[in-house]
Amino acid sequence: MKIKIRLGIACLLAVPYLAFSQNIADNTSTRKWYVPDAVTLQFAGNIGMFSIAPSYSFAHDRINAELSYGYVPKFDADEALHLLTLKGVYLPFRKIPLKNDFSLTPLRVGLGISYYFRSQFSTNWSDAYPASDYYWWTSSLRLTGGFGPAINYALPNSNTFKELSLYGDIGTYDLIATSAFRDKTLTTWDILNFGVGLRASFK
Amino acid sequence: MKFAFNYRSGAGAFLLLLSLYLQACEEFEYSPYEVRLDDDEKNINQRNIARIEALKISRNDTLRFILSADVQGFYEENEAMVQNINQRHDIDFLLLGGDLTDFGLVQEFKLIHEDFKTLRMPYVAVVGNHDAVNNGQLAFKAMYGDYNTSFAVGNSRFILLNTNYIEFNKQVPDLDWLEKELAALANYENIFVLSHIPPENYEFGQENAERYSQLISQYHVTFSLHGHNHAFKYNFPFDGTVPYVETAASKNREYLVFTVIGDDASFERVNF
Repeated sequence: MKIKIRLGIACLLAVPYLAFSQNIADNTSTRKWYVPDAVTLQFAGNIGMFSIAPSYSFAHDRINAELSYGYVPKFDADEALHLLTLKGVYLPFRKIPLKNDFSLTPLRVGLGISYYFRSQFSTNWSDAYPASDYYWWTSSLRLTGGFGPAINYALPNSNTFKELSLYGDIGTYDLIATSAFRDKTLTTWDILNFGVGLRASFK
Repeated sequence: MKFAFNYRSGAGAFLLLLSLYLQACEEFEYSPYEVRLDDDEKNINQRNIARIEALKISRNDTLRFILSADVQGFYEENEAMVQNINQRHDIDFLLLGGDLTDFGLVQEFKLIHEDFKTLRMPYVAVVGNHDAVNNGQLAFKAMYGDYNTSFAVGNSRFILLNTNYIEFNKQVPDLDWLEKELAALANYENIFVLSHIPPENYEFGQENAERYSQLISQYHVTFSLHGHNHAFKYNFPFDGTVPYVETAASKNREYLVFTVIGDDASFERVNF
């Protein structure tokens, strides 16, 4: 399992560098399909304390797809957490130009599925249970979703980067959302949480 | 003009976002499975057992404690229960018989602790099967401490046993530990063994049920206490010498009050 994690991390970390070499020589139109259009770093937001992802743009940057590796230190537990998250981000509105090289993305809506590496998180429950639906969810997979705005800063003079986007995310995840659905006294604030991230798109 | 308006609205949106973030620094969550605790959320059992021992209840005093269990996700009912219990002044402590959470999430454990720490009296919790799924085993251990533990009050001894057989890969209940605990208790007139899953349930591990019941009978345990089935049950199973009690879920708006006077222990059902 450890090898799997390390290999996955190495692949993910290598992707932006592939993009660098590609981008210096070429431009977006000739970029190979597997070379990401951006790299995203995120703090918090249910996908790790820190996460890093290659990010791909589709539909004129209306849709981003990201595969992030996330890390959660152990804090008060005995073990740290490693997870991969496949995330889609939808940007329904056009950017609003602001002063200088700034612009505002009014809304980003994201939905992701995380996979946790560790034997404690099973994808199949033990067959020792008296019923197959003893627990209804899958332990190793978590759905997360969120939304928020972004401030963009264009970098016309950079050879590598096209734009930096600082985004905020208000999100939740599947299990706690079901808790709030069943118990009226749980407030929105009990189930919502925050993340911030930086997305750097390549030239 | 249009430009200035956009600039202002952009800056406004940014400031709004910023203030929201500053307000909510606590709200940055890294993962549903993270275990990140405040100081008052650690070693709860150990700290509360110390509080119970500090009550200095003597062997001749009347001891009164509450048994509740299966409080998972029932925040509305839990608040009502805590309020109801806090109106009483005769309770020394509360035992929580497992399933504090649905998913073993720290966030759920924190919400439960937020409610139960407002009790006038200390509470001690045993681990339930739902507390032991996902990352719950680490979360429970970090918040409540050892899965198996025991303490004494007056002439009574309380043993908390982890019976979540399947969740702990069939390595529990640790009946050798239980036997050692019971064997060391000759001085106590009353012995209460609390665990989440009762031995009559399949999920207790069928190979464990017989030995458990033998130990309970052999050492003349006063009550074998449980939760898990979300319904009140009182019977004398196995050899018929020891009462086994299962308490209802907090959703059922019921808890049990046990009264111990000398070697006489009894209970009553209370609805709230």
